[in-house]
Amino acid sequence: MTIRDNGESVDSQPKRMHRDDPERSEPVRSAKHHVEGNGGWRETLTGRPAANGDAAPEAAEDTVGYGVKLGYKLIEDQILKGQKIAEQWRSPGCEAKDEDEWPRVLGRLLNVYRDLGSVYMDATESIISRVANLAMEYEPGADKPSESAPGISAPDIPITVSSAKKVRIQLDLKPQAGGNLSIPALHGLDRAAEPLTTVYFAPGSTTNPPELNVEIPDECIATAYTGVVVDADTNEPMGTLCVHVVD
Amino acid sequence: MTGDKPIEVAVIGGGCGSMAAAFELSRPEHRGKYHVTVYQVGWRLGGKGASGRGAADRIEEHGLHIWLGFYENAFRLMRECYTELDRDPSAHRIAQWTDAFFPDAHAGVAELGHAGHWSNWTAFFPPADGLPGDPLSTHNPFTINNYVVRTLQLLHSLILGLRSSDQTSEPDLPYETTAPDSNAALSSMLRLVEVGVLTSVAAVLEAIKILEVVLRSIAAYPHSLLVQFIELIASSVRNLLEGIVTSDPAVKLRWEIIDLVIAIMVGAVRYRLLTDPRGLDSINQYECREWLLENGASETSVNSPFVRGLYDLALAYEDGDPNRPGLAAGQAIRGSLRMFFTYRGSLFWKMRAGMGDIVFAPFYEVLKRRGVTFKFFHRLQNVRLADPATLAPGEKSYVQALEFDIQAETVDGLEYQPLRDVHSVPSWPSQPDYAQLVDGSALAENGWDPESHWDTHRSSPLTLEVTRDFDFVVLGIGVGAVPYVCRELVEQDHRWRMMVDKVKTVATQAFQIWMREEMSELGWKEPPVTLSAFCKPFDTWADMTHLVPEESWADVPKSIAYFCNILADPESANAELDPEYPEQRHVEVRDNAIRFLNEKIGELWPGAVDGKAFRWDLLVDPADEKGNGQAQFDSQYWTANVNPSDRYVLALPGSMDYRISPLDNTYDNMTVAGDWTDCGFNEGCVEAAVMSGRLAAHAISNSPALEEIIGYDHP
Ligand SMILES: Cc1cc2nc3c(=O)[nH]c(=O)nc-3n(C[C@H](O)[C@H](O)[C@H](O)COP(=O)(O)OP(=O)(O)OC[C@H]3O[C@@H](n4cnc5c(N)ncnc54)[C@H](O)[C@@H]3O)c2cc1C
Repeated sequence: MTIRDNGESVDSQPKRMHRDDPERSEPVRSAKHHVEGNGGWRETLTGRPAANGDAAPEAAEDTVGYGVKLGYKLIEDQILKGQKIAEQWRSPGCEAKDEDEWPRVLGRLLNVYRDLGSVYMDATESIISRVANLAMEYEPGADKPSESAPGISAPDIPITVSSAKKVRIQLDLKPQAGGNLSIPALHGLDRAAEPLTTVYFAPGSTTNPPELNVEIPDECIATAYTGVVVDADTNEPMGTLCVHVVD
Repeated sequence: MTGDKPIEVAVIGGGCGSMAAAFELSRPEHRGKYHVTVYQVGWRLGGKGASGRGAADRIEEHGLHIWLGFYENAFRLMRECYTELDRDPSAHRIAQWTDAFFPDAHAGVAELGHAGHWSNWTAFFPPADGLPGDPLSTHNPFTINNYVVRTLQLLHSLILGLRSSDQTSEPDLPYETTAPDSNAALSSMLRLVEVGVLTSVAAVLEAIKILEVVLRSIAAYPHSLLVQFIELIASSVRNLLEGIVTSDPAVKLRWEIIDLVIAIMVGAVRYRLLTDPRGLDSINQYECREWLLENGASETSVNSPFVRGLYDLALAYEDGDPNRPGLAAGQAIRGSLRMFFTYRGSLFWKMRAGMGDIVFAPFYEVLKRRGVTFKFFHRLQNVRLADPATLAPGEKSYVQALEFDIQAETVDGLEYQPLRDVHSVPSWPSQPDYAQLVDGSALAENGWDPESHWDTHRSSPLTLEVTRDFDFVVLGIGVGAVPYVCRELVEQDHRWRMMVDKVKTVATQAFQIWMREEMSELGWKEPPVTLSAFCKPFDTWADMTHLVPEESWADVPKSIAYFCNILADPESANAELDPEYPEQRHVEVRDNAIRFLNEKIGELWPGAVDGKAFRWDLLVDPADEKGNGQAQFDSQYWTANVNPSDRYVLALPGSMDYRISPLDNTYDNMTVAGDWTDCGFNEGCVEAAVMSGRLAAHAISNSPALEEIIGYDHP
């Protein structure tokens, strides 16, 4: 019952009005929403064709192939560069003769290489995801692209090492890496090092992840060996592996 | 719905936020579904945008008010309002919105040089396509694509400009709009990252072009490559240009802007601003200058007049302390992007008369015609919530009652008529029209100020009850007043408590002078300007000489100048409890202005000082009493804006999350409006207030659609 200021009571009180909860109470901030041709402010964007800046890659496979090619080339260039620099540092008259300096230089080169490797991985990953998204857009009526199989994170992968020397292993895999992986070859940073071909994945099953086998021949030079892990079926890069052999 | 009876909406306050809400809810399209009553303390609408006509009909503003060319919501409503007002151009000098606002393309900043002298740098911002408030379908500048292109174009032209001023320039390279396709961009990016250095301006410009392609569809590129790439551009530009040591302030400023633009681009990539779902909000916990420093900007650049000018325009100093600049990085960048890259027509728009006359009088007239009721002299004292014990299961809390002081009664209970014509322009007087009030002459003699927070005069109390007197409430008061009138809310609701604690405000000071000489005679040789980054205590000046014909002077002034700035808070908060507090601050502002004119203004207007002091005889006195020396300043206008509701709302780092949205439905018969709300553009300005008012209307009526509130959804 409501009492008016003058004390009069109001028996048949009208129903109180209320607001329903709004659909949302925050702005849409994601920049993706505001790329021209992609929704956003209503008046603006309805029915407008996409602007040139958002051009889709021409053919999905081409783009992936292109990305992979670029990535390989980049890694190759880096390895060669690394080898060249390492060589210079080892040459007579170079300060790198200093025993302490050498591991530091090597470490730095390794980092450069690894960074570029991850750049490359990112590149390929994002190209692939772009392609997946765009493929969906280009096939009206099609279902969403199926989710990739649950990813295997590197720590889940059993690693067996057979080596007379001490080794440090760094494996970075994309979450969507499947069970059938392969490693073409691992290149050493030291130019004198033969590529390491005795590192491989034993295929996994739907329930078991693949197993990484690292066999280091006795004659193997102590250096860092690095390479790309690819999906054995599609040859798509799935990660990087670095095996650091220490004397 | 209650049958044919309209839904009663009580709008508290008559600032920009409230007017926008009332305008939306009373639209003819609603067919009278909502009946709006506006309750306003004192005799006029406007709040922080209020103005009045004083002696000689001179315009007396709350502070300097400029509208920016990106105020799409504010201009849209204003234009609709003028159309509906339908004034006869032959009878009204300000009939259409284009009479009311005019473009002002000159902005300036001042800088203190090594010799301790101020120099100024003014820039002309070319007219941009369209007009603010135009439909967006023809030309839409509000896309990421546009921001990217405009930012890079700016960088491109700034770099070229710098090189040419350096006299060692390479051939002028126009900014090409054709850019490499996305695969080529990826390949070029990898190539350039590999090379590791961009050795010529041409290489930098090529890299910028690649960057444009990349940023337009950023998700398609690897983040770490982008970071490397942008950092490469940044370091190369800095390396290339760092040799340019110059004493020319314009060149120096250009270089500083380049440095800042680069820092923003580096930060945008590093902080993933273009892909983070929170957009720019994701960096709102950082102070803008610190964030710029972190992304490579130099100390000199973040302290440049350009940055200081932006802070000054946003009055962004915590507690009014010039040594504590504070702006949330995300909002600051959003504001700058919108200000420089999305303006239409002109960067700045000035008003042809007072903001009260140009904005609030037309709103008042149109809203009256639509049937909106105005209750002046109504001071809200308390928002009473429903007793939680009476809530039905699942029922939300709500506003049970609104308790007011009626400050004054009108003679014979007639409706208060607030406007009077000045040269055919309906205007608000600087004081109440006492003749319309019961005991008016006594009130006038006592120097009654019904707008003052410290005023306690009331003729009677009034309680409005939910369902009987109102269905919905739009709380449109300034946030500084919330602790005083929403005591229960603040006590009971943690979010409201945090909101009033974190969303801080600052007092402001302003003064206006009318002078006998033209600006050029005073030594200002540039076009009429709005200039900031000048020295404290009045860092912002606008030439308002265009207002002379709107006023009624016997001794007609040749120039008018408005100054504005923050006003530092007293050390002890208790000082505000003293009823004399507003008067003390008023005197302080007078003294500040006199000191400023004596000691500083000569730097801008050398002709205004004689020896070491200001030429006080320059001032035009409307009463023509010819005081002596600096006492003549008393005939001018100044204000200390210390009323809690009138305090300017800051956008401090770390405060944004505490704002409450007009869409928030915790109290399901109340919404909020004002520049302090979480309205999409969270910075104290007219546009923010109008956006909030539109959101408040949406909360009640579902209209306008959120997508029509321009810029609400903005990265
Ligand atoms: C000095 C200064 C200069 C500025 N310059 C610019 C500029 O150049 N450009 C720009 O865009 N913005 C500028 N602003 C900001 C702009 O003025 C504000 O953002 C805008 O006016 C805020 O509107 P609002 O509706 O949120 O609040 P307000 O204008 O504060 O409105 C609040 C309303 O509530 C009323 N009220 C308060 N308490 C009560 C109560 N208890 N009972 C009843 N009514 C009450 C007030 O009287 C007022 O009508 C400036 C602000 C200041 C202070």
